[in-house]
Amino acid sequence: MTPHAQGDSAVSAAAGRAPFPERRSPPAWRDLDTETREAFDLGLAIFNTSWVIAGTPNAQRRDGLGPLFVAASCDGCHNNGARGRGEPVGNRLPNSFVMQLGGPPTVYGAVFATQALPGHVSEGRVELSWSARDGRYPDGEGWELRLPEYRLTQLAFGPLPGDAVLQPRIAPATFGSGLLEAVPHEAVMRIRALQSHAVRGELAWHEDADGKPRLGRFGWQAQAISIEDQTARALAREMGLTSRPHPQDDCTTQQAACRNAPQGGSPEVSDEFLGALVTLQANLAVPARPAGAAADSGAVLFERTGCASCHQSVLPVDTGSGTAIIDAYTDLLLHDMGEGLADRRVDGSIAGSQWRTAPLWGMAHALAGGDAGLLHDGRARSVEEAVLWHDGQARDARRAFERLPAAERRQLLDWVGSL
Amino acid sequence: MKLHSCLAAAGLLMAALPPAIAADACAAYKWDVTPEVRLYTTQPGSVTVGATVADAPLIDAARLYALQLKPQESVQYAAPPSKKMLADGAYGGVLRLKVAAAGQYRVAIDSGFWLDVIHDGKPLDAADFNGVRDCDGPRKIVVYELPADVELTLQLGAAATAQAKLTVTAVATATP
Repeated sequence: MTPHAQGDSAVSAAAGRAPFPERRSPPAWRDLDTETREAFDLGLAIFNTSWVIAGTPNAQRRDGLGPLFVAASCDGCHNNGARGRGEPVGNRLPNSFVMQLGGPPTVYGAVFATQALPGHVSEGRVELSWSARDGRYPDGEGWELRLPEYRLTQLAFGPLPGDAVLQPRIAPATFGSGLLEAVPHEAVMRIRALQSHAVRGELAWHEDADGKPRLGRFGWQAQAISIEDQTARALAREMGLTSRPHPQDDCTTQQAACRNAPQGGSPEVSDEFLGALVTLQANLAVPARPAGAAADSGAVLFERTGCASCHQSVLPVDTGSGTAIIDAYTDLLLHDMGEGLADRRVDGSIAGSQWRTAPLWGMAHALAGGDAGLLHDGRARSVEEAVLWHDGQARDARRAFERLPAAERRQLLDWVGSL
Repeated sequence: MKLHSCLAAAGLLMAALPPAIAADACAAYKWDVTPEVRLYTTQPGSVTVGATVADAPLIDAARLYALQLKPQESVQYAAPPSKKMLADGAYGGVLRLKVAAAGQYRVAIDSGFWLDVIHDGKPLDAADFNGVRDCDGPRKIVVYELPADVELTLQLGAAATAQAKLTVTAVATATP
């Protein structure tokens, strides 16, 4: 697909897609003017760069990491902009993994920090084990899933209370973020209105800094209203880096050593750097579908089973100078996906099972690496496993998939894997 | 602003772990890295990296090297690093490498340097990679398919530490 020139109001069925000849240099989805290109390139360099301890000589632009953190660079989790790598075998925790914490505030803040600068102690460790869950399709073919179990150990600030919510997350792809941001909320509302009652999603409304309602669309549960919001949160919570929109990192009032640690400036991430990161993500293309992509019979099955009710193939995008159509395969709505995928409290009770429909575009690129970790915590090693975890409002679609003949199940899965 | 010790400013990001925990941590690599971990317990040879290919020292496989790196802005790489990164406060350098037998080799380093192996003026694609932050020894390993008897350039960059330990090991010698 040829990226549209700025100001081009042509409509394309695959806007935002581009070939990715080099994974480490993801392209923009449109032609960029000189200034935007410079910001894009700077954003990519920042994205890839590890931040360092405050006061590191000659590193004032990139110092201030931590002192408590999960990753030292955006790329450490976000994998050249693609979704985080999973771990297909064994009990290794993926490098792209983060344990977020919800529920009433605790000493550990919003993210469980597993790394610390010298002179500080990390908040603890996350240990992962799996239990197998297997079953059979109606036609007798077997399937196997793995259920993750997390244990937080070496807790530096005492045990977590029973009502703390464990929110295991793997980094989603940042491809196409600018296009998702440009979907008018009215379009999302129209999609919702047309969904049947059984699958109708919820709009994730939040307030912006001016108190105005904005639609959440980023993050596994649509908790962020914009690329800047999502980026500033991640910088603060997962890297200990402050910015103008997020001037406080994840050190809590009980963590005196953390709060008193030297800063890398105020804020640590300059407006220029934050702006460059936003420009990068706003213009990142989505990988084009591979040549010889799976047959459209898979698309027909995708529609027939009901998958397309939520994984919408057509979304309008306001480019600022016209309308384009993107095939993100999401409705940007929250859906109840059932107990199996729900976050749980420390005491084991279910805390929340609503998830933003994950965009499926770029799936072929994600699977090509051989280590894709699908779903919010990377538990699914394949599209098939991800489908089999669908429950709650997606139960009927999953059952329709299960009832397909094996050959049609394979067609549908191959097609999704080619997106 | 409070100044940190040289050790802290060198960018070593992990507090020291008890040896038992560190040894167990190395088991988290996706491969058996016993050869690399053993090498990291040996006496390293001290090497100052080159600022250009012309003054880059030649290193051997199956040896541990303690590298002294240079400010990255002073380094002229054989090819641009394959990943765009900022060089603020970063160290880097160039080494030369030649292996006798073609095959897969692991380049293991104890810090977060970006590594490139240059052949015919271009970075080789990594065959595989893995990192384990808690391992006492190699914390990042990149696997390359290397040709025999060809002088290659090993480039390091983008880390804020002036010292690093590095090994190059043939995958065929790894314990299965």
